[in-house]
Amino acid sequence: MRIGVFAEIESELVDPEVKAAVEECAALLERADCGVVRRAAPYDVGRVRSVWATLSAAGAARTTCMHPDIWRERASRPIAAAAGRGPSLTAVDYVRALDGLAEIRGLVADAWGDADAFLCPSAASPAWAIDEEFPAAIGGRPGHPAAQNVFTTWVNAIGHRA
Amino acid sequence: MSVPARAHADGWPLGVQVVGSYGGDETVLEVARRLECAASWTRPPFPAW
Repeated sequence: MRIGVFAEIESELVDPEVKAAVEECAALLERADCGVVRRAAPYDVGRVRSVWATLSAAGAARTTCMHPDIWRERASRPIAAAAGRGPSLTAVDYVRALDGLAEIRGLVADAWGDADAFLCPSAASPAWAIDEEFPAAIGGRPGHPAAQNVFTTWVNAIGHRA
Repeated sequence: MSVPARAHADGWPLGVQVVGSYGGDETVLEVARRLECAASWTRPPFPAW
């Protein structure tokens, strides 16, 4: 079994402890008879964020239409903000996002190479306080709302098992 | 699939993620199983409610 490993992406925030956990697991897999190869992330974070911003806003707005009486009290602040952006999207915006999604899937397929699976962080930082939307700092740098989706949204986008 | 790898200082697990190729469900499960067997994190007993 051949495992592609990446623990960070260019200038994106990642806690050193998260990177260390990935490296530790890569070593464990090597000892468990897996071939481990260092790879670049097989996706473009900026492209994924751009497409996902449109799709998540449209999706959140759809949910507000389905549950008009309860969504305000149940939605988290980030979801409510996304829902607020949804109604201003045009059909053209949405179709262009679908085009972008298809493009992301094609690019990931091209970049996948001969790996049977990828090993990477599941989040950029260890768990943070439940009443905070995002960690105040990650790896000694200020945190921000988009920092935690660096390693997960691409999996939602490609639709592979994970 | 997110697999707990080791404990953070607060006791919560610090996880890693395994992503398989399209249709690679069995591969993901097998990699996760090998990690779960070897990784240092073990689930603490559930608290008594």
